[in-house]
Amino acid sequence: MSGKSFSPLAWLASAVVYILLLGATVIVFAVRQPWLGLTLSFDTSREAAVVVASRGPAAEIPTGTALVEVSGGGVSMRFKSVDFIPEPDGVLETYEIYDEFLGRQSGLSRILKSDTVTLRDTEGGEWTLRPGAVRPPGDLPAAFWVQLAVGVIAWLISAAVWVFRRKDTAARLLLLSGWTTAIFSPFAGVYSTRELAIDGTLLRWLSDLNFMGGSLFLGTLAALLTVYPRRLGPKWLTSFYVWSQAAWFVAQQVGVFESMVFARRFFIMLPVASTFVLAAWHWRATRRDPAARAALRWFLLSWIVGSGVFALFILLPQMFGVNTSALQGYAFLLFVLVYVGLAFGILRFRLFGLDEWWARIATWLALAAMLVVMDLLFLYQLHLSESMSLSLALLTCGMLWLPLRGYLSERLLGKAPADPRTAFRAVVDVALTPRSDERETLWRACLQSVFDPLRIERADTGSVGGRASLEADGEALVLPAVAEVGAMRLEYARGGRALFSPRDAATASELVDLLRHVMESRDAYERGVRVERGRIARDIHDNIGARLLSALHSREEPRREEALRGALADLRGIINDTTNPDLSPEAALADLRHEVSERLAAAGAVLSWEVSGSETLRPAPNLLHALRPMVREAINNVVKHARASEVSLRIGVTTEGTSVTIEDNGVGFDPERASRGHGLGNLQSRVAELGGRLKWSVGSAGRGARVEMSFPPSLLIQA
Amino acid sequence: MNVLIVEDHSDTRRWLVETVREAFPSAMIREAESVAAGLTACDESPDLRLALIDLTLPGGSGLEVIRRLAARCPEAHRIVVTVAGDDANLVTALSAGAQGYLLKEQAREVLVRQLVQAMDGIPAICPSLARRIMDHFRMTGPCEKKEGVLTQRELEVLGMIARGLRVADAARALGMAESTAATHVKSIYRKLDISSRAEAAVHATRMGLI
Repeated sequence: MSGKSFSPLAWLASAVVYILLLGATVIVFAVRQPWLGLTLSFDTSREAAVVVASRGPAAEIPTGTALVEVSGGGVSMRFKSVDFIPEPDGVLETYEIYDEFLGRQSGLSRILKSDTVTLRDTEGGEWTLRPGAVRPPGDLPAAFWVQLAVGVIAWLISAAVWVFRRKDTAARLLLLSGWTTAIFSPFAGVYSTRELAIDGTLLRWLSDLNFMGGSLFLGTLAALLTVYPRRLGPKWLTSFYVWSQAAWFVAQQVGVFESMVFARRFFIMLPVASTFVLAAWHWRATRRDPAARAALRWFLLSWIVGSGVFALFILLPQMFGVNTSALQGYAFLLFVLVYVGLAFGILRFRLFGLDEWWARIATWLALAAMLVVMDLLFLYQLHLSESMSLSLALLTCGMLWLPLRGYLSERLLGKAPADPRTAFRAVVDVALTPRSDERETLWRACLQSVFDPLRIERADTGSVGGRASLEADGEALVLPAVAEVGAMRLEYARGGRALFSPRDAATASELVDLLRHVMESRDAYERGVRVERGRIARDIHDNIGARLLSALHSREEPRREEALRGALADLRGIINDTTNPDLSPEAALADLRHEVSERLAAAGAVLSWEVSGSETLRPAPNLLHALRPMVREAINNVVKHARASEVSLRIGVTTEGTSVTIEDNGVGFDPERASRGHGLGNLQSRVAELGGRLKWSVGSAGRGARVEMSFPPSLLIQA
Repeated sequence: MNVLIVEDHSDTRRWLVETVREAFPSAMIREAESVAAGLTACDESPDLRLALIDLTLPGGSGLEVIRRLAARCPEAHRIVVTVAGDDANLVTALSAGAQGYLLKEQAREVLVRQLVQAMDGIPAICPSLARRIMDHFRMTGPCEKKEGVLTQRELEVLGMIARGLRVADAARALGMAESTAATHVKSIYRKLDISSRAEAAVHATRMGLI
């Protein structure tokens, strides 16, 4: 076939051209009729056609005029009720009556083609007018355009599905059904909205084709259900539904049946009934396959609501002699919805995510159905005029149904979105739980509460990072691993009632991002705690530990006391965080300054304290730590031995390093004794440990003592 | 002069008693080893002049004793004795009505000197405590009552002390008498009490209680 070289777009373009031609033809048929400008309604009690509205050539005839006869070209005909039926199928009992109806239509049509037409009313008054050569398109009623639109939409949707799945039997059947709809609906539009009459031959063609299209349509849909969503029954059943309808059409065409209502209404009920059986069968067959069932639900809802409502309200009443043909034009709208639902169901192509949307269509449809019911109710029981009952029905719908509908759709959908705050809390709980095995349990619980899947299991995808993704057409949702929380595979959303939608995937990705972020923050926080803990432990070990040891091992009571006091002072420093490396050197040394000056004041000496530093450099934290005991030690010596009245302490920071000079104006020192003294020996070794140098000398004024400690530039840090 | 010492550790208590004796040889010392005993002592001796109170005690916190003293014996000089205490607790104690503090680990001669100074009106204060007090006032924010806000001068004294200066040195650096600086520190302690009450009032209003 040459079809292979056609792209889907080219096929679609051909479909568009076809339907444009068809539409144009139908419009031409409808327009190329003589035009009176009358809207008539036949009143059986008066045996007359009552003018509902008049315009154009008939503008002079007042509304409410009851017309009984039309004449032109020397022929006159009395109006009969049968002349005003929009749709002969299901209304005219036998083919004989049908022929008679067509004959009358031809007669009326001929009269209307005369130059002047005379209408006579019940009072005997005569109205002569010149019919327009064509009916202006604007004069065509809404029902005509609706029926044309139904055909166009059905064809375009089915073609749009088919062009992408040309080898798919279901898509082919759908295309066939679209083609039949594009026949029965627009053709019915031409004759059911005729002004008074169209040529009988044309009417016969249109009406017969309408029946052919309609019956084939119903057969095709039943056939569709034998292959979609999965194959049911034997293969011949599919063709049977299509060909039996075709055969029946031929049979009634050649006059096998006498009763037209039977011929045109009975056999089409077979596929209608079949679809319900097939639907139930599918429903049972898909009970273990949520994806197929989701698709089926679409199909069934669209089919049952659309066709079911049509069969129930239009076709069925006709079997019992109720004339519903006035509603037919609008009822065709239901088939548009069938096509929209069908199209999505069959494509299975991004089917998920449309569930909610479909529910909205369903409620809308219910609204429309309710409108029809209410309208009929008022029409038959309250005997109100049509427009009045319609507005009453609208009012009732608006006041009762719309609020009810909102409530029902909420309840039916049962898809209240998980509160983001709850999810946030759950995710934070997952991340902050100390035990990692519990973390996964909580994560599962969180996912369960958000998506309500039938199953959650660990996914094999070992990839850490990335986003959540849909699998198997939305049957499953796979979430990536986050740190030690493994990748998860969620199957069958919302207890198997729905498929995962791209929105679910986006939500899941957000949750994963959130979890990742909180876990990273937690790690950073824990790292900070560990670093801080390490610093405190080091402080305790290096300072307090060393001092307690020296207290433990010291044989001299004063030294022991000194060491213990030093340990407690260090403890105080640690508790009050004065050992925090973030503190400026001035603040870090403020305690030392205070302590030293208090000690000296108690000993009757005055301290002069001077810190000269660089803007960019400061002593490293470990040097600041080490300085405290060293300065204490040195001050101890001054207090104990020097009997000084003035002590100066200078700390200088330069690029050369840090220097600490302590000078007093006391009695000076005996180098012999000083070197033996424990204090000096300790000081010496502490300074040496840091790679510094210690120098003793006589004070600058020639008296007292001067201790100089200098530390290398390696113990400096950038401020 | 009646003195109350509330301290659960018997060795420390004995040591404190000796220290007080050394500072004030004529003192009549009453000892308590728990909150309950401390409270009883407050009720029974309205003529207390000095109270040394440990914060961590069996049966509660020394803060209760401080509050009771502030209510019953406003004359009594209330001093917290603490070991390596963290200064956040000290701020709380000062807010509860303590007028000074002593560190137990200090040498006795330092302690004696501080006790005498405290009774002479020069309260103890150290750099990290000064920093915390400044933080406290910064965090409690503006107070409606004037007496709940630090004056410029008080802030200057605090700033000096936070840099490691003693009260006397701070006074010299700011060109004021030592007693003036000491008055500022006492006033700061008193304002801690007021500001903590103001803060409580703010919280209460926020919660709709008042």
